[in-house]
Amino acid sequence: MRTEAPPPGSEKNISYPEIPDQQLPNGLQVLVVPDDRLPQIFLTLVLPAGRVSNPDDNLALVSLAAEMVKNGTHSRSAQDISDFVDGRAIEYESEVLMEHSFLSMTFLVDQTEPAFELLADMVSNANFPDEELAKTKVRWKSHLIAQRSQPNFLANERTFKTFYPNHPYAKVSMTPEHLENTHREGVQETYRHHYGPGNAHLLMAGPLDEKRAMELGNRFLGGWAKGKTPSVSYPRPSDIEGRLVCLIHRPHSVQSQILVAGRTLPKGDPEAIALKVTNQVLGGGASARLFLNLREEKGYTYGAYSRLKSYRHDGLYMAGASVKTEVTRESVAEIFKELEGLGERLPEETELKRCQQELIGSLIRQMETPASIGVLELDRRIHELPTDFYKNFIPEVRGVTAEKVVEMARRFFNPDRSVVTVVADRERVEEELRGIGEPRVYDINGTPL
Amino acid sequence: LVWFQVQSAVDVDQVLQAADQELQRVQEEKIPAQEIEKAKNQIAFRFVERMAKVARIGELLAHYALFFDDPKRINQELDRYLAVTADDILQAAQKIFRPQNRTLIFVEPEGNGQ
Repeated sequence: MRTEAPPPGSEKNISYPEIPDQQLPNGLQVLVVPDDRLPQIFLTLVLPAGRVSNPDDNLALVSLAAEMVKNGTHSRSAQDISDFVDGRAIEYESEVLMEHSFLSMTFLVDQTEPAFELLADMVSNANFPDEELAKTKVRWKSHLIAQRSQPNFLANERTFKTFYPNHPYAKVSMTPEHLENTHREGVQETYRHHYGPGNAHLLMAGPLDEKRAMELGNRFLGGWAKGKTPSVSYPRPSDIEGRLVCLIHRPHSVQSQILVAGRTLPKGDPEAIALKVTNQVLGGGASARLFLNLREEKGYTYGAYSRLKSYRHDGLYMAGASVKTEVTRESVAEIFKELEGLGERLPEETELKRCQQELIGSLIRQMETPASIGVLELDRRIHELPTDFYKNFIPEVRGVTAEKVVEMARRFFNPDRSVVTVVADRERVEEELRGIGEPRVYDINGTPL
Repeated sequence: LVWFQVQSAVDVDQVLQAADQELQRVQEEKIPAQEIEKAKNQIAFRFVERMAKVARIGELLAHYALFFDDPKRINQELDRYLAVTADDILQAAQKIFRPQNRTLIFVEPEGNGQ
């Protein structure tokens, strides 16, 4: 049996492609990743309409708009569209993130024109039929109920609500009441307000050159009426003081979901890469400290990780694990120990090097398809990262020193300035959690108990 | 493999009857050209999608090497699918969807299914 991991392979030199900025006369920004290895095209339209763009009293609207553009236009019923995409094998997906909506299509090259035609129809002529809205609401309601039985969803939602009271970043999920109160007019209004070519980006990746791509863009989306797509503005959220402990009472839970989180850096911060390396050492994978300690050494959990989230005005690290309830307090203590330990001693050179390799390898894997390169470039553009951000990514990751890791950990991984969320049966953990801070207790619907 | 997940109030025999009718139909009637084209479009889409990542290409090569002793088959497989005709489907359906050729399995919840 193998007891040592095999050594990593030699590193390939990769070059990150140059992708010029282009624009249609109506303001739609276009980026093209030409690649003719396969007869497949990937299109993504990104609009600056995210969860944050929802009004405070209805977090369902932006998501419903993105979902429902495929459920009927002035000239096509939902059934027509579904037959159209099924018959031609056009895959359509929509996703609404914190600050953007993504509408994506993948198809074989012989379906290029029908796909563009449909996309154009969806973004300018959607008409949100009542019966389709009713069906979507029923489907989503059962999903919302299922979601509240997931401890990781509950911990995540509570974390954002605690860090961002009275700030749009707290808008994590809609409620059944939001769906209940949504009518066709509301979705239509959201669509009219947010779907326009200004501030939007279109990615085309696959076997088309720039000339052909711009020709397609102009032909199908050139007539998309110039719309003022508002970008939502909001301030950088204010800091939290000290340590806040939240306990979500999930009766009869046999496990405790633990999430320790702290403020880090917004998207595009010059120190973002140093932070990424630091997080990789803490909990970026199965050879990182959290995993080695909480799983391999202590056997508290199947896996313990930390990840980074970043947005235009702020970022968080989130370190956590799902553990046996009887070791809840011990697990929190071990997570704290790893957070603090990283700021106290320089990481070993081999450890740092391995983490850097992992990040570099994962970027290289992300560059495997034209679609995924395009998504990196989209991300860079919508967050206004420097032009050479991904180009310089590899040397910058390599340049992060052990001293820098310690400095970053000291600044950000501080358990005394954190939000600790535990999802568990209250009866079994509340008392022992008092040792780290008086818990605010909630039920699974977010109501304080 | 054809499977159904039905709500506990539904009569399973009725579901089975409906399935039998459909299986009977593909043994008797040729599939319309439009439906065949749709199926081929979807198969071509999935096939090309799998060729986009090295790991998936590796899986496919291993598959053809293991089951057919012929990894090169990866280069012809899609054409074999695209060459299928309505007659081929009819023959295959008659050969495979015979009642003597099948096993039925019912998985039922205990009690009232709660």
